[in-house]
Amino acid sequence: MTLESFPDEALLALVARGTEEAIGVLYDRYAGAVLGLARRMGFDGAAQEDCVQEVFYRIWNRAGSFDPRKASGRSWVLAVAHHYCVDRVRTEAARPKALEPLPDEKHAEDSFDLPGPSLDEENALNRVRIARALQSLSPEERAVIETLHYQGHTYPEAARVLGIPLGTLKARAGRAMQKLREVLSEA
Amino acid sequence: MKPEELRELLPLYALGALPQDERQAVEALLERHPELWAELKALHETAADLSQAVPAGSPRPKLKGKVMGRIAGSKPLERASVRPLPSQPVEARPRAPRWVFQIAALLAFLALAWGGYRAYPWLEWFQASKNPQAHIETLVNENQQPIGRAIFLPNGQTLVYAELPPPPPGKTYQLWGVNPTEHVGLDTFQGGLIVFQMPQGHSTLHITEEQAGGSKTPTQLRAFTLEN
Repeated sequence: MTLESFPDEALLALVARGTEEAIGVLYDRYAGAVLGLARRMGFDGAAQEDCVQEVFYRIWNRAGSFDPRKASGRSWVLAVAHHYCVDRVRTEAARPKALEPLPDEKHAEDSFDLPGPSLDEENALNRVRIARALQSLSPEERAVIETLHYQGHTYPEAARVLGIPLGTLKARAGRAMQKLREVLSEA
Repeated sequence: MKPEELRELLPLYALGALPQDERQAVEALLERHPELWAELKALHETAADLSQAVPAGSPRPKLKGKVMGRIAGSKPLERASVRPLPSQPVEARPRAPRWVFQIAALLAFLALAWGGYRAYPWLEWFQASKNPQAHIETLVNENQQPIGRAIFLPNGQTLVYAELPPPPPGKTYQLWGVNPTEHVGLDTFQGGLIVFQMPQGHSTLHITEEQAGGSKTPTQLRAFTLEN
């Protein structure tokens, strides 16, 4: 029986049972995404690979806590990756550079690093879809997402960095996520 | 913290923007508010989209070897408790008088006679399990717990017993034949025992939760077979 056709949730169930082949399939599916996320969050080449190793070791050890009622397999794997990168960014206090302000719509997608030639078409199209959803946000909302998600600041830090009150930051983050959900569900 | 306050923090939680102590507090509170899990799940999807909005990297081939080497031989730390299929230890009991056995046998005969049509699938099950060419696999749910068995016969006839909770109102369970390239939608059922025909070339069975009437594509995985 091949595991390549199994959904992420089934693979995580197998990982929790100690099936090494299943984590190998998850690695094939997500190692590139984890590497890309680590790079986006400001880690250099060696640290990016270190992130990949640590993330998959965490997935191996924590798959038993995956609860499909709270997250899909994909979002759980990527949340483990993001949490690891965030914790590491905070520990090392290494902040990636903020994105340049978006000059105009034409260049907006480039700011989210749209697609590279080495990527398969499906992933590239997916990123175009997400980048377009990001364009539905106001510049202020986009700045909140950038500061929180990609730079790994806590929300009190982000409020200071952006020079806005905590309540405003929370409201913008909530609005931004709501808009993204709506646009992505339509796409 | 009130549910409204917890709800306000969910976007920040999904974005990974809570300080560690608040993240842990939110996780503990979420356990007490299952009504917020659907919203949390949707927010996690959006956060995952953000994480995948950046170009994927190309890991060096030897990196996978390093990861697998570190994992090899170690057991996951947080293994879900894998419950064996029920097999209670037999305790020595005092022997009952002979008439008790005679009444029990009579009741069993009457039950079989009255519910013959209900017993018929179980007879099939029994016969299939005796077939030397039958291939038997364990069904596990999404929490890795064994919930039943699937018996595959060489002619494609498949018998499944799945101990699933009743599906929610308006929902049903659906069987899927799976191979590396496709999922083929099969019969719907309410859990328990079902006999159906597995399509040729599909060796794996999935059970999903779907809208009543079934779906063309699988939605929510509830159980799948594991090769024994």
